[in-house]
Amino acid sequence: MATLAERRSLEPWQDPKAVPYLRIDRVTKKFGDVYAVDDVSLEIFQGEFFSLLGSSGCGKSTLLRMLAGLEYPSAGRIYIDGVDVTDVPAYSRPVNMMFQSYALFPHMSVEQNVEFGLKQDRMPRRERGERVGEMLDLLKITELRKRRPDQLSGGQRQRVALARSLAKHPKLLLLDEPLGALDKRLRENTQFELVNLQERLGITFVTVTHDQEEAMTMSTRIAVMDAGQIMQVDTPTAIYEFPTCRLVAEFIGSINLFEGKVVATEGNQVLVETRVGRPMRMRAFHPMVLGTPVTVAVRPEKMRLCADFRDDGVNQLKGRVEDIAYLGDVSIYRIRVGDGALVEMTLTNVQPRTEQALTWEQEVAIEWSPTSGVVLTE
Amino acid sequence: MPAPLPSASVRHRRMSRLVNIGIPYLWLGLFFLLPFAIVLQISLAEPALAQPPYTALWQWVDEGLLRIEINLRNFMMVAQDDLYLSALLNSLQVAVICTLLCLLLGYPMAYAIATAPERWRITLLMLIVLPFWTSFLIRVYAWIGILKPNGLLNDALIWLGLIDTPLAILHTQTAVYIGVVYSYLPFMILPLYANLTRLDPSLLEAAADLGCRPMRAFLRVTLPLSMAGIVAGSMLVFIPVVGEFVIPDLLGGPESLMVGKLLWSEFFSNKDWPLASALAILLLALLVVPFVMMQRLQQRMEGSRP
Amino acid sequence: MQRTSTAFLFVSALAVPMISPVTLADETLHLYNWSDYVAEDTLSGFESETGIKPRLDVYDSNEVLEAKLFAGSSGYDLVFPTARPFAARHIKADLYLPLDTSKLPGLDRLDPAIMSQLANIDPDNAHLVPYMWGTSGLGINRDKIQAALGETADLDTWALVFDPETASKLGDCGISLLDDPTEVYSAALAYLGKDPNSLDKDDLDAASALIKAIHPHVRYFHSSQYMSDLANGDLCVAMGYSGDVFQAQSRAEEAGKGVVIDYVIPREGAAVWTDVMAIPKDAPNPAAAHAFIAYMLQPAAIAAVSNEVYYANPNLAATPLLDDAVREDPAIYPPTEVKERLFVPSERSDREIRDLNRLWTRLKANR
Repeated sequence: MATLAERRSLEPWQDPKAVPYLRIDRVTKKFGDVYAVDDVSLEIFQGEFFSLLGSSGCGKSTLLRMLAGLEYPSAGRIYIDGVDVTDVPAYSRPVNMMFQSYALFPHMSVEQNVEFGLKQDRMPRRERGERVGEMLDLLKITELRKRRPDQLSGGQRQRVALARSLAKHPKLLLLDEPLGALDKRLRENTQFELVNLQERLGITFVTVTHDQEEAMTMSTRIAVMDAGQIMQVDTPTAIYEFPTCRLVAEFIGSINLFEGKVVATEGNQVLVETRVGRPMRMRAFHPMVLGTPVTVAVRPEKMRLCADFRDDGVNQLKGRVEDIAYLGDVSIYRIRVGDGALVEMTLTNVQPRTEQALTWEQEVAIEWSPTSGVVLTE
Repeated sequence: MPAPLPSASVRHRRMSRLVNIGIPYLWLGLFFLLPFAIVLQISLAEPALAQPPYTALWQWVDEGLLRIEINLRNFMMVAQDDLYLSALLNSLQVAVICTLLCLLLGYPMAYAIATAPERWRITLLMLIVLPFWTSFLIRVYAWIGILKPNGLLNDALIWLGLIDTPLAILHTQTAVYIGVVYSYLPFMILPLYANLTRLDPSLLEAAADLGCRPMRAFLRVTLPLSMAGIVAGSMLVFIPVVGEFVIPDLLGGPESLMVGKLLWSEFFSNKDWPLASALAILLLALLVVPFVMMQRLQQRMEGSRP
Repeated sequence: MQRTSTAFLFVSALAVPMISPVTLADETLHLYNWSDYVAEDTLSGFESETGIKPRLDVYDSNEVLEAKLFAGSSGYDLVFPTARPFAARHIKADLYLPLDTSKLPGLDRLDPAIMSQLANIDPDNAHLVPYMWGTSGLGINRDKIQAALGETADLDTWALVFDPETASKLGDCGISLLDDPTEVYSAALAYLGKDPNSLDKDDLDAASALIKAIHPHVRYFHSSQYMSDLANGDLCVAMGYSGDVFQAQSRAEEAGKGVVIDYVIPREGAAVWTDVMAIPKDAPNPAAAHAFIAYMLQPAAIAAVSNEVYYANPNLAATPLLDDAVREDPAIYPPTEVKERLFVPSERSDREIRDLNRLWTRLKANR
C-alpha cells in the first residue's frame, strides 16, 4: 500500500493544496445558438496525461482548441500556470498542439517542419539544429529528415507531427485524436510509446479522443463529455468501476442496467426492487431515500454462474442462454431473464470451447456480489 | 447467350484506347500544328500582289523539277529592325507590369473569397465572372467613357475638387494598364481562388500554434502553397496580354506600341502577310519560354512525390 | 440558299397553285460596304424593284475588306473599296470581275472627269464604278478654337494642326489625325507648299520633321474615333473625311449640348478620294451585283444616299435631285475655285507604301 503522501504526489487532484497547472474556469463556447462547450470547469495538474473523452460533437475538440487559442471562449477564463491566457492569441501561448490531421506543411521537409516553431522563436541556428536532431532521434525518424510529408506513411507522419509539437519543449501539449488516423495494430503500439514519452519528458498532456480503450490505457484521468458538458472526471479505474451516471456507465465498456427503486437501506447497502426479479442488494456510496428511482449497473465480467440458486437469494437471476459470442480469451453470453430482459455475462474461457459447459438454450442461474456494481441515481 | 469472343473484346478495348489517346493528338494536330505550319509557311514566303498575297513556297517548274524558295528576310527584318524589338519589349513590359498588378489586386480578392463564409462564395464568384456576360469590346468601350477628358472619372474628380483641369488618362499607357488589368483580373482570381480553397486551414492553425504571427504565416505557408495558383494565373494573364491588340488600340495613345498592334498593321495596312507571320512566330517562340518554365516548376513541385 | 428556295417553291406550289412560282424571289445579293454608307430605303428599294434579297455586312476600314479579298472566297458579290490605293492594287492583283456594261444602263450619267481619273488605275473603266467621293479636311469646333487662339484666328488652314505653335495651343482641347500616312503626309506637304504627292526624300524628311514637331500635341491617330469625340466636344480639331465630320456635326446637333462642328477644306489644298463599287472575281452571284450597280446608277437612288450620308456622288443626273442643303454646301460640292485646290493622291508601289507605313508606325510611337 502506498502511503498517503505518495498517493498524493501520484494523484495531485486528491490533494487540496496542490496547484493545478491548467485551470479551466466556467468556460462556455457558443456557435450561433448552439452551446459547443457549456460551463465547463476543470483542473489539470503538472505531469498529467489527461483525456477528454466523448462521442463526436460532444465539445471535446472545441475545448481543446480553446486551450490552444484557436477559438476564444464566449464566457469563462483559462489559466495556464497561474496566468490568465483567455485572450492570448495562439501564437503567443506556451502550449503546442498535435493536430488530428497532423497538419504537416506539405512544402517543407520533415526537418523543416520540426524546425518551424524554433525559427519563430528566433533560436540560433546551431541550437536549432541540435534540437531538431534531438527530436528526430527521440521519435526515431532521423532517416526521414529530408523527405516531404507526402512521401511518408501514416505512422511516420504521426511521428513527425509529434516531433514538431514537442520541438519547442512545451510544458503543455494538446493532442487532438493523436492516434485516430492509425490502423489498429500501430495504434496499440503507439499508445505505450506515447505514455513512455510523456513520462520521460514530464510534459502535461491533454488529449482528445473518442476511443475509450485508448483513453483507459493512457490517461491518468479522463473527463467524459456529452453535449458540451463534463459528465464525470476521474481515473480510468473509477470511471470504469464507479460511473456516476448512466451515460458514463454506458459509454465505457458494456454494462447491465436494471431500473428500479430503493425499498430498504441496510448500513451502506441498499435494497433495490427491479422488474427482472427479486430485490438486488448493492453497496451505495451515498445515503439514499426510500422510493428513489435508481439503476443498478453491473458489468458483464462481474457476473458469475451461480452454483446454489435459492428462491430467496439476492443478486441472483435465472434465465436461458440465447446468444454466445466467442472472442477467444473470453466469451460473451446473452441470457434472457425474468421479464424478458437480456443480461450480458462475460466468462473467461478457462477450458477450450468445445468442452465448455454452457450452450445455447441452456437454463442457467447467474449472480453477482453487492460490491460488484453501482447504484446510479440519474 | 454465349459470352462475346475474347478476341473481339480485346480488339474493342484496344480500339477505344486508341481513340482515347488519338483524340487529343488529333485535336492538337488539327487546331494547333496545322495552323502553325500554315503560318510558318507564309512566314517563309515573299509578299506578292496576288491572291493569296504571298508567293508559293514550292513550285513545279518543269517536268520533275521542283523549286523551293525559302525567304528568311522576314525574320531578318524583324530581328534587325529595332521597331519590332522595341514593340516586343514594350509588350513584355506591359505584360509584366499588368501581371504584377493583377496579382497584387487579384490575390487579396481571391483570398477574401476563398475565406468568406461558404454561402457567400458563389455570389462573390458570380460578381467576378458577371462582366464576362457582356461583350469584351463593349466593356473596353465603357472605359473610354470613364477615362476621357470629360468622362466620368474626370468629372467626379473635378466635382470633388481634387483637380481643376481634366487629367489626360485616355490614350496614354496608363489607360492601357487600367484596361488590361480590368479585363484580365478574373483570369488571375479564378485559378488563385481554386488553389486557395484547397488550402487546409489547419495548416495556418498549426503555424499559429507554433508561434507564427498571421502575416508571417501567410508568407511562409499560404504564399508558398498557393504558388501553383500564382503561376497559373500569371500565365493566363501574361500570355494573352503580350499579344493584346484591342485594348492598346482603343485606350492607348500613339506611344503604346505593342506587338499586337504592329502585327495588325503589318497584316492589314501593309498587306505583308509573310512579315506578319514571321512576327507571330517569333512572338510564339517568346511565349513558349515562360510556358516551359512554368511546366518545369510544376514538375519540380510534383516530381518529388512518389 | 438552294434548299430554301426549292422548299419554298414546293410549298407555294401546293398551297397556291394559281400563282406562278417563276420569280427571282429567293435570289440573294451579299454586299460588303462601309458602315452608314447607304440610305435608309436603298436596300428595300432595290429589293422591291428587282426581287433580289440584299444582305449587307459592314466594315470600317479598307484594310479589313482588303484582307478578306486577298484571302479569297469572301462570299461577297459587291464591295466598296476606296479607289486609291486599294482598288488600284486589287485590279493589279486581278481580284475583280470585268463589268458587263450591257447590264449597266446609265453609266453615261457619271461625271466624265471622275471616270477619266479612275481610268488611270482601271484602264477603260473595266472594273470600277464610282459610288461616292469626298475630301479629307478638318473637322473643327469653332468655339473652342477661338477660345484658344482668339476670335480672328484663321480656320481654313492646315496650320491648325501643322503649325507647332498653334498646335501647342490647341493640344489641350484636343487634336486628332487620321491613322493613315498617305493622308497625313500629303496634307503636311500641302501645308509646306510642296507637291502633296512628292516622293522626294527631302520633301518627305521635311514633312516627317513637321509631324514630329506637332506629335506631342496630338491626342491620337485614329481613322474613326474622332467622329464621336468631335460630337462630344472632346476634340477641337480633327483631320477627317468630309462625310464623317458631317455625321459628327449632326450627332452634335442631336445631342443638343451646344457643340457646333464645321468641316473645312484647307486653303492649302486637300486630298480627294473616291469610293467605288467592284465585283470580286469569286462572287457567288455577279448578276445580282450588276443589278445593284445598275440600281445605284439611277439618279434618284444615289441622290437619296448623298442626302443621308453627306458625300457627293459622281452621277451628274442626280445633282438636281439633291437636297438644297447638300447641293449648295461648298464643303460637299466644292465650288470650282476650291475644286482646283483638291488633289488626287498618286499611285505608289507596294514597296513605297510599306516603307511609308513603317516610317509612320515609328513616327507615331515616337521611336
